[in-house]
Amino acid sequence: MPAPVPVVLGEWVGQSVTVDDVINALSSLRYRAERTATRTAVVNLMVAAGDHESAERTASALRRLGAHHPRRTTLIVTEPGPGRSLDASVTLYEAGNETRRVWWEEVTLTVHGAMAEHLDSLMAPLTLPDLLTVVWFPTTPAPHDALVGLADTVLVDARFAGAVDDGQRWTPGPLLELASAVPVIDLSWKRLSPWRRMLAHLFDDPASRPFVSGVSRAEVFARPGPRHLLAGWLCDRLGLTPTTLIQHDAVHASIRLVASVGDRSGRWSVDRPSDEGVVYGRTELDDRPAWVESEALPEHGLTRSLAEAVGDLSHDPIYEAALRCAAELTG
Amino acid sequence: MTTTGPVGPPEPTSGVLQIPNPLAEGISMARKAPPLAMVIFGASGDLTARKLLPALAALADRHALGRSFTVVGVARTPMDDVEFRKLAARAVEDPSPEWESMVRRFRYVAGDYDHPDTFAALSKVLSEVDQSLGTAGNRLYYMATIPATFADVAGALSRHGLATPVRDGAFCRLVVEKPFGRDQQSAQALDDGLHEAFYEDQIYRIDHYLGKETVQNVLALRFANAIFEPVWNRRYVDHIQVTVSEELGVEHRGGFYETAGALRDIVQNHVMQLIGLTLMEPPGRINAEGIRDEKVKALKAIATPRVREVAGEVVRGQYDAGWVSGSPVVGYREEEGVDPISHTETYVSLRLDVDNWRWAGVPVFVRTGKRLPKRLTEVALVFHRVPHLSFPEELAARLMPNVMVLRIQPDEGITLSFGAKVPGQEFRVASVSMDFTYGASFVEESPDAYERLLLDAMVGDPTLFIRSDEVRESWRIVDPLLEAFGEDHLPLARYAAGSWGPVESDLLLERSGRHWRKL
Repeated sequence: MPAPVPVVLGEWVGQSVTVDDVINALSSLRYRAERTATRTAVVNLMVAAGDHESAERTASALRRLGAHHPRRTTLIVTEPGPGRSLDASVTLYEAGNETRRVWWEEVTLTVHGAMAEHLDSLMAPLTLPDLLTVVWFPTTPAPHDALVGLADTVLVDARFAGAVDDGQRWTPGPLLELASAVPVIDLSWKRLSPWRRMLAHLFDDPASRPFVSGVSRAEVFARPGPRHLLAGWLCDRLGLTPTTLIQHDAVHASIRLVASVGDRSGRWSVDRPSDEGVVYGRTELDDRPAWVESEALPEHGLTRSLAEAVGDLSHDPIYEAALRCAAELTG
Repeated sequence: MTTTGPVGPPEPTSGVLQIPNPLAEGISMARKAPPLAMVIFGASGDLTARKLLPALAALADRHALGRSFTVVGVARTPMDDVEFRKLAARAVEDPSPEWESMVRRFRYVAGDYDHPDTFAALSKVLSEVDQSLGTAGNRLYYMATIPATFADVAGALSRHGLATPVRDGAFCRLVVEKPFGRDQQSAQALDDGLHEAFYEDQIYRIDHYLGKETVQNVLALRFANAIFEPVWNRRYVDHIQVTVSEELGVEHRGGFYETAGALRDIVQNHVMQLIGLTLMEPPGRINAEGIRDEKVKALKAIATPRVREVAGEVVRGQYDAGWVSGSPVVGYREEEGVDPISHTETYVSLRLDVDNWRWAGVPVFVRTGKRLPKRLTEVALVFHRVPHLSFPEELAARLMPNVMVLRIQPDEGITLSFGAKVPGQEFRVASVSMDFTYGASFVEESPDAYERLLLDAMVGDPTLFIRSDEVRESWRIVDPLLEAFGEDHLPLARYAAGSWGPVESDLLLERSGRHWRKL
């Protein structure tokens, strides 16, 4: 079922305002809405957006999420400079049909000057009680950012969230540091779910299961970040080492495994060969014909990843173990 | 005499699959069917094409069915494997590569159900697929055929050695659809016939309502929350209303409906299941036996209607011509396949009383009918009014009792209505609704009920299937009503299509100072 298209019910914009002004605007928009916009919310979502362009990009993905995960979203844009002031805009959205309607709020704060150093004090009054607070860093996370102190969970994306060392290699340092302070959900990790699920599914087959402990070689293809996560995952789950696990740069993710048991051997692969929205899993065993399975990738990748993330904010020890192994693999 | 039926040996597990799969840890892996051959009796029929094959296709697309799954169709229609595969492929719009690949493995056996050659051929095909596809001797027999054949087919399977596993570790299961008999006597005869061939725990009686997300959410709502269970009883609940409303008429099933009527078609099965889940005590464990034991206890507590006394407790009706959703429709007696002087009821409303500590004095009102204004199924718990209304009457005129509504379809969800102050200078109070609709809070779509139930039968989870004692208790309650209908103790009230049923149905509640919820 496609997500209902959001409709703007009301908007407010203010310059050099206070947080109280923003809170009053939030209430006022709901009461003034043509139909009373009863709040339903499942989470507080704060987005450390960086600049306005990034804020608009992430807001677009979040709007598609709205009807399924109604929430208060606050996008925070920081602008260094002298002084200390706050500009804000508030938008009330509605989506649904005759029998079912949902409303949610989007607040954009442009924080000038020294106020940006105290985002937690700015955000605390805007959080809805009794709900988890999720802080999303769409680009580089800042483990010591004041917002992290407010977060029950932090959302990141390994593609942007790792550091690059002197040799231009991706390292998971910032992610590991963040994960030691607060539960982390990684959107790249979520997007890799179809690949992980397909590979796990291939080895769920009774014919392949005996080989799962005999993997002797693995190759991982992907962009830095996701590639390191996949490699770290395989390293952790299958006991592979840097000599048995080779990584390659590629636009689309792929996994290739070789395993043997006794005098029998096999090859397994999970590929997305092009821009086609399908992942293919292939099993080749020496003593029988190869077979292929497929899984369609969801549309609206970012929105889907966000929806999965917001729908399940539980701690993921498999991710953390993958991250630690990724750090070991990068030396 | 056993209360359920003979119980068989425990279900098997496979050796290779005991090896752990570390790649699957932390991944939300959907359940998967074990290797098996699903034998569909009635493979060329409407149920197979409309429901079973699309559900299997959806399961295939979700990788819930592996390479060692196949379907063997059995029916009287002369067909070969190739033609059956074409039929299966056509049953799905826009078939996926997964489904097309799976269909190529399907087999077909043409023959009469009362001819031994049919089952000899079936046995041969099953051995072949065990060898070629690795279906491991596991069988799921699905009776997508008329109920009159159930016992005969079960008996034939048994005589040909197909009702018992071919090897250690394999399973044989039988899925039957409603109706489970036409009355108490025939239901018992059917059960006896099935039990001659299969143990009770091999039999999976399907009621697709139990596969619906909201029906299962009744269990979550009641037993995962501390705030609802304390008020889920006679101290707080005034009465319960169960509504199963259909906008459609009998369509082209007039001939079948003439032999059924609303009581058999809806009340005996769907309604009784909804009532069981609503009235039951909390089980010690949320598992198949725990839930089914408590459902049966709840049904047992419902008083058996007395044939001579039903006139005051039951209304039966039949629709006349009218307008539904802006279109004129004919009356029931003018429908195709229906006797012009038919006395079959298309509407029933009734009152049931429960004899136990939790629900004594709380009537359960049921209404179901065809050609009502909208399609809707819900269970509503209407709570007692406040013991004393402190607000001036004129300021509380719009205040209604609290109601908790479990919406089964459409728009599955839960609504709680409660009193709140109306904004303004005066202290006026009125009822408002708080609505929880699953689609508003979770991104995953609910699986189709048939998909869920089929997979449950494949993996051997009987929780959402009906046990023989549940069937027996349902018929105990419904049988006296059938007898009263047959002896014409109750007049057949008329109602216009598009209305909410006969006027007499309103009187059923108004006699006790209550009224049907306005839907």
